[in-house]
Amino acid sequence: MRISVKFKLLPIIVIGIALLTGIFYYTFTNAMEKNIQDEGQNAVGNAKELFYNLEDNDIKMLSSTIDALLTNKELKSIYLKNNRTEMYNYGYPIHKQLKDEFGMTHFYIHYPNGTNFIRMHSKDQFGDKITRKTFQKSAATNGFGSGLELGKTAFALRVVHPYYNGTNLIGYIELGEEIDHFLKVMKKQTNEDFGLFINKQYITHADWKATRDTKGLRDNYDDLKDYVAIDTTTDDISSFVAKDENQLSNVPEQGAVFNKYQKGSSTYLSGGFPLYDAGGVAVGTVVVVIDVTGFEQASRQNSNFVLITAIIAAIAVSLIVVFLVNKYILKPLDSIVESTTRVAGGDFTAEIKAQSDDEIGDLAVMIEGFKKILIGTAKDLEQAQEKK
Amino acid sequence: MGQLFEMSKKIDEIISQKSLDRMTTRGKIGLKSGVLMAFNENTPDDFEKIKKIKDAARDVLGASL
Repeated sequence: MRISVKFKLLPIIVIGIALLTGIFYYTFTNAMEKNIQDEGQNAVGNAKELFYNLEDNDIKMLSSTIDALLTNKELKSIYLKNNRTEMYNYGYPIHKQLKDEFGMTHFYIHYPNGTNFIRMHSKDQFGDKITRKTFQKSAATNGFGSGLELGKTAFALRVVHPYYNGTNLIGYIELGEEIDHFLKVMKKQTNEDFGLFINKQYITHADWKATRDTKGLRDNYDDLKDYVAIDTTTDDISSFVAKDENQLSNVPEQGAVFNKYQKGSSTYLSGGFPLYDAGGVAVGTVVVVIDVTGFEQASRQNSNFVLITAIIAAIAVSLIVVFLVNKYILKPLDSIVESTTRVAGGDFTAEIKAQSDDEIGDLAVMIEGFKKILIGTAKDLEQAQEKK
Repeated sequence: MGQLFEMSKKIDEIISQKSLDRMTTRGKIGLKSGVLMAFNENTPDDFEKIKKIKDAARDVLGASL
């Protein structure tokens, strides 16, 4: 069966379009996925910056408050009397004001040897030896010791400073705050969800259960194998982390994106960054859940638009190629075939014209030359026969 | 003498009956048979050419001569 060159070109063009479109779509989809991952990585980076900015700001707030307390002469004179009840009566209103207005939940004064003299926030608890890293840092540097410290069930941001009477060290003043407002502020600023996940080696089930029972909350200790969510902005954050729990223990310094999830019609990315205590130990991970539905939809719409445009462009280019092949190759060849056939049929007047100055035109000129030779030869033979 | 010319006339008759283009159709038969389709009464008989033209005409015209 005779098949025109045009139809022989067709499958090549169709396969070419399909292949190019496929490669283009694959490349674009990969780029889209990479954009989403980059978006996630940026969100994790921003969350980390926000978290540690909050920590820095609150350390400054606690430090400046300690500075004010250190210069309070009345506080010092009462402390020097070593009368706990008088100290409490004077210090508790200060503590209450600091707690109500600034969220400073802990106010301590310790003796120079680290034994606690008084807790304004818990007057019946005293006389214990303070060994926390912030205290040790303050004692070692003779200046501010600050950082996050994990208690039995919660994190607190603490700042400690030596207390002097002239040049004599008379004790230490310590202020602290719980950091549950960190995640709330972060959610308000970014509209993302967050969770503080602590490795279970730093928190016992019994202590955690007791805390949850006190607050009337479900015991979530066994939600994950090695980590427990001690603070979250959404209840179901553990479900985002459950599949990626192994990643919580290997989070790089700059943070990382863990995975992509589909929940209903929404798409989320989970990621996180390491959480360090005052001693620089990574005790857990701050998990970030980012809603990338809008970003993904916008990317997909762009992707579809580009894909459709690419297909239309590929079809248009193919049609142009077919048109040009037809005009510059196939039609001149058809014309040569037509003229050559007529000559073979005895129409010696049929002229094989060169329609273009190219290889096809050269072929036409050559066949026209052959035609003239053929006609001359035929005439010669005819004359020779007539002479016989 | 004249058999090729006669055959050429028969071919022209069939082309005319089928309303085909004379020169193009004769050309196709010529190219298929490898014989230049230019004959007159004096063209000497050539049985080999006659057979080739008959075969080619059957293919091109779909008719036996």
